[in-house]
Amino acid sequence: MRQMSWCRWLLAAVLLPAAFAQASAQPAAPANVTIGPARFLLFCPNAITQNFPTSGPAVTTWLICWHEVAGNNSIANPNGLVIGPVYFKKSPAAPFMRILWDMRVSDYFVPYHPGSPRFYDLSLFNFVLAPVSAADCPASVGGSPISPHVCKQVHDRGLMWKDWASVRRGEEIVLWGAIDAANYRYVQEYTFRDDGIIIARMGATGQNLPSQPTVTHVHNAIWRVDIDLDGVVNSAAHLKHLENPTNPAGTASDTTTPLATAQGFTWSARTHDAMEVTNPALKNAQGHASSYQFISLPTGGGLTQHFEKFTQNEFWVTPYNPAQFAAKNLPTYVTGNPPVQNRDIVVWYKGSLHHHPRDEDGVYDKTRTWIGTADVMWTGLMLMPHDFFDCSPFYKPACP
Amino acid sequence: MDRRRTCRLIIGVALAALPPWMESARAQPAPAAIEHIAPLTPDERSLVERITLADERIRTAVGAGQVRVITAQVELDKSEAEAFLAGTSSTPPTRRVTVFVLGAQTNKAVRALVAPAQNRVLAVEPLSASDVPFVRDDADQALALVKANAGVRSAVGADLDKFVVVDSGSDARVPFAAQILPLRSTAPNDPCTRDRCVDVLFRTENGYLGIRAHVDLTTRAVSVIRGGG
Repeated sequence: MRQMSWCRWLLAAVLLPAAFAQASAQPAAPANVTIGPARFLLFCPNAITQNFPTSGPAVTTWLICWHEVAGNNSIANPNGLVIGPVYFKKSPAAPFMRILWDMRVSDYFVPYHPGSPRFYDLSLFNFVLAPVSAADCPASVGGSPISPHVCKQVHDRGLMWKDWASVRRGEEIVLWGAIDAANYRYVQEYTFRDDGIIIARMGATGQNLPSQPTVTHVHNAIWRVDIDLDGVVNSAAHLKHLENPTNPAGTASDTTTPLATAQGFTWSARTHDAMEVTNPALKNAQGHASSYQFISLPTGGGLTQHFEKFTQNEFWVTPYNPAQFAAKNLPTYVTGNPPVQNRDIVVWYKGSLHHHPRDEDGVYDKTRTWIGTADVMWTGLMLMPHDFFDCSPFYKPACP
Repeated sequence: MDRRRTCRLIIGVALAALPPWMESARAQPAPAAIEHIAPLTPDERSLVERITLADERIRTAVGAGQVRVITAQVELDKSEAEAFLAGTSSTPPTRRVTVFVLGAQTNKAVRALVAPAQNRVLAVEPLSASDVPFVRDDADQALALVKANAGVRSAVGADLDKFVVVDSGSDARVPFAAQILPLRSTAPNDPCTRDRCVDVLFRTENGYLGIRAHVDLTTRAVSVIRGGG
């Protein structure tokens, strides 16, 4: 009896780890797998693997590398929280597919209405991420600090869909840190949703500029997104909605204009301008070309342009160049019209916050010390998959 | 004896039935983990500075005299990193470092991309001195100029000497904190269109004082901005 018991324990010791490993392993990967979580962890020890839904069998999975590009006394030009590479599994049986190589804020540009000052709040000084604590990142909202400067939140994101009979709520993982730019804090937030959507946002908060606290200004964030949709061979196109409101027929159309060379274009609220990135070899099961669309998420109603040329487009596409990280040099990067079709490309996007100071931001006390804070304002962009899944990924039945 | 034999048999069958991927995982030595973007070590930084200063293109571009080398971000060679991720290479990808070089006397500057492992400068491009990022030394220099300025002293009062530069990201409780904001101008008649300029802010434990000091580090000129509001 005692001997059988020992035998059972030994057998369990042999088989249980195998059983656990089998249970936690992704389903058998197709032959075209080029990346696995174990290899990814060697490359990026702080990588995050996030399954959705967070309970029950995984439908989609994100594999996210993040790191801080921080400055110190002699290291300049940091970018704070930098995301990438990022891989996504669109179904339990699908391989991990690369979506992003690198996503970061290139700069925060803040011109004031009188024409001066004009601050470059990221590229010109070694501003770094501020500390985050449990107060920033409470467990009650799914938060957990994953470094002294970065918060991870995994939580409900509201309705995913609702039809005649059923409803489903969605989930997301959010990584954020806040750049300490003297009197201001710039929240750098990156959201990865269960449905493959990525959202990058800037939140601006802090104390209005000393000596000019009531002067209107604009906070522009320029993101640099090195997108690698299933590899580095990608192309970009300009999407536009066209509709003549005086046309009684009420018709509208969409245009897709391939971008052959490096260039920028503006966003318009009337034409829903967006940039689409495709991989010529990537199609879904329906044979449709899969893409990710870069979509503006303006809040406050607009996106501002200034005297500086790099602010005069919302979207830019440039060929990948390891030496090109500076938003203010974008006009130089597109000079000479370098080709961008079927090659490694970088997409840049500018979002703007129009900050018209209000008494709610603060007030001087008797000693002319500014007391108060401007609450967070947000702007950003969304990367939305298009014809990427074979059908609705979280609908009740499997794809027909 | 029979029981022992039965047990051995069961374990033997169980081991034989282990999935092949577990076998291969046991058999293959895993490559060592690499830090995706680890900060530069002091040795690496010294090497990068030596490579930078030895480059003829950079020396010519910034001119004679004292130069300042500012090290910026570290990036990986993308194709090498891809190969490592795909498992086709076990060699860690090459690190590339962006540096800025400023001629202190000439006010000329370049940005360069350095590959320390290859001991060479990969690319050099000229840029305006006002585009060279500011570092702690600039902040210290700006605060020293501010403290020596009678106008700022008059505006801030006797507490001016108590202000110290606070590093970004510090959560230290500093009662008199000086912070700098780099700025550029676009107006042709504004010296900060070409010079290296910063504003100095003064934060006490109660909040920000209602003035700023404007410092042109190139000409060492200081002025007080009182503003309104």
